[in-house]
Amino acid sequence: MSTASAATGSPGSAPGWLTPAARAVEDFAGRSVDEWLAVCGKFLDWHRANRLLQDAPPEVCRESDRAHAWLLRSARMMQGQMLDPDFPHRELARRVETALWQLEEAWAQTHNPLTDAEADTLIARLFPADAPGT
Amino acid sequence: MHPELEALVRAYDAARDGLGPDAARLRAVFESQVEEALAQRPGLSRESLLNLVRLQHRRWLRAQQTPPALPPKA
Repeated sequence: MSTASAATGSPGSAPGWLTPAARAVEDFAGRSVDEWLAVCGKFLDWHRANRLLQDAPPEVCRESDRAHAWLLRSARMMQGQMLDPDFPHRELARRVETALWQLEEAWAQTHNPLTDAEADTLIARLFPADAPGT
Repeated sequence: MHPELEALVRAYDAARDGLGPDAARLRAVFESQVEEALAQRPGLSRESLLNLVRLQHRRWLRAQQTPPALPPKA
């Protein structure tokens, strides 16, 4: 991996025995984040199918919220670590940031304080159906 | 649905769907549409607009679902 030197200094200055170890750590970090992203993707797909497209039973909502909150906490923790300028996987960092936003939005959708009636009032005021182009 | 609100909902849906290489760009497109909508509606808070889009997106998703097939006639 070409980014190994980012975590260990320049290749010339790193002790010979350290480079493979640092590379192994980087590979492990990359694989772990990739796996975590796959779990997030699966959860978000499930959330869309079971919490957005239909009304899940209360016990399913509670269990889903627990898993969701855990994923949010782990995403924030991971993002904090990736803000380190030495973190070598910039593309993974960008994907974690996107995953965090998607998790936050999914949570905001199932805990939206806006009621249907309030939404309809807002729509009538801000996006009237008789506006030009409607 | 008002075309501008529908465009916001569609952009939100695109940004919410998937973690592929295009995801950050799709989120930026949505954010820029939010800024545009807010600029045209002084007094509307960002959080109110986002809550409206979130709720409307949920309604829109449900409306997109294919209705269940009719049971066969007896």
